[in-house]
Amino acid sequence: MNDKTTHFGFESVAEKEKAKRVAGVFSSVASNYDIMNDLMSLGLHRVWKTFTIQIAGVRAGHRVLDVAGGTADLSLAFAKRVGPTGQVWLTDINGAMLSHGRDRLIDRGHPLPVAQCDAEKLPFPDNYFNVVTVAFGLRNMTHKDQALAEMRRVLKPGGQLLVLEFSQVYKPLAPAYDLYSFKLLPWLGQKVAGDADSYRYLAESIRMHPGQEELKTLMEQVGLEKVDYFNMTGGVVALHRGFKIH
Amino acid sequence: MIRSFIALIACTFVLGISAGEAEARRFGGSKSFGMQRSAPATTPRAAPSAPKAGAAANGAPKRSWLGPIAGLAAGLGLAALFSHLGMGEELGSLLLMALLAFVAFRLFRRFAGGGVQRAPQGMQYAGPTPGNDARETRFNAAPAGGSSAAAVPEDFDEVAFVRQAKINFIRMQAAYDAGNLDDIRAFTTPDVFAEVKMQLDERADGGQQTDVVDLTADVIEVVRESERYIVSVRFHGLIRENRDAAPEAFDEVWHLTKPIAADGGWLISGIQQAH
Repeated sequence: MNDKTTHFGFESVAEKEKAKRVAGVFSSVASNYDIMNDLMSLGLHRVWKTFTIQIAGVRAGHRVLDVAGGTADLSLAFAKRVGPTGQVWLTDINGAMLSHGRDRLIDRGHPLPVAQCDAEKLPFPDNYFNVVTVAFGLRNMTHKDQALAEMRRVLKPGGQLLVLEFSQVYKPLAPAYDLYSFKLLPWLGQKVAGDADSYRYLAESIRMHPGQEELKTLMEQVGLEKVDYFNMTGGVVALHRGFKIH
Repeated sequence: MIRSFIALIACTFVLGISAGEAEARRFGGSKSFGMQRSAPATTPRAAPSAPKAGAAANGAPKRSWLGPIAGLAAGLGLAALFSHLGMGEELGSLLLMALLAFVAFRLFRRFAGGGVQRAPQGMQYAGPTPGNDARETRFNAAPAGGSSAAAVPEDFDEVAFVRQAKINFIRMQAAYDAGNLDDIRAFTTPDVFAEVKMQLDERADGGQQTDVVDLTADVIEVVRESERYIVSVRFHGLIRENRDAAPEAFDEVWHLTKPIAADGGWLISGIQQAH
């Protein structure tokens, strides 16, 4: 029963263990997650998120779910677009991250509903949301297929799922990218947050995450259709989009 | 002739715009009314030093990242571009490596410098900090105001109070925009409600839109009187009172009261502009 293993960075851990270990990483980095985002992505995460928001095409009255929303960057942008007739929900499995996101939303004048929940068991009805997004969250989920299937379930027919995640980098950039993420990043993590291990996990988990085509196949397997993806910054990050047609 | 005609049109527009701006206001119409207290009126100048000191300490390293990050971001983008244009893997990688080295060097220098900057902050603990001074005078000043003051009670959860205060602040703006009198009545004392209702009656058109763009709140005073608690919360930040206008800074203190004996939640007893 407990023999099933999954990866935690480059380590293999029991499936049950992974959620706990991931929670440990994010509880430890929640307070300076904003700095960390800038650090890890060299500030580019703002560009990637802006692009995601453009692709999402959220309009007034839409219902949007931001899974693993962390510090609520996407939720905030969507909240401005849906207006008083729409809904934006922010969820995260990690309480520390979610509190941080909730406080940020309040400080920007958008007290949104937030829910602490597992993306593999979303507490929402079927066919409810126009758009579901998961930005830099899928990587940390134990059963990615189950999580994707849940996100599809809560989508309305015609709705779209957007997955923004680190991906397979363009080959010529790989040596520099490796050097950056395995040497420089943990070093910076140690200097900035005094926590090299968490940063090493993040770098490793990026490598273990499925590449563009693999993730596309995974999304198609759970029943999403017209799946395509956009590479950004030479494939460091990819935005996958899939529709629920039926 | 034509010139004066254009001037006339321009005047009409200017007048029209300014008339429109006069209509839209945030909750309370940027006025002071209801309960006014002397202590908080002075503390907004002094009090911020306490939270700001902490904020600055937290904020400083964050800001210092922007420079190198922007540089590195540009670098990565450039490298991708070079590769994409077929300039060869070596050039792309080399350029990126050079940039990384440069950034690492700059970061190292920042940290070396940061150590020096941090030292005085650590040493402040040795003596009384400006922040602590402000806190003391705040609670010493309160009895002079005539009420029996106590320091922030042990069980007063300031973080949660501030969070809820912010939510109610946003809620009141929305209720004011929509002219939702029931909601406003539930959160205000009768005399504040009367003033707000008067403002809404004066507002001719149906609705308006106020966007809270940036909101910070600090508890500046907690007072226990014989029959009620008074908590003064300073709200400041940016608010957009007219759609499509630039957000403007605001700074006001809301005095919230709650009866000690009877049931009932916190009510807005007065609004006081900082200026």
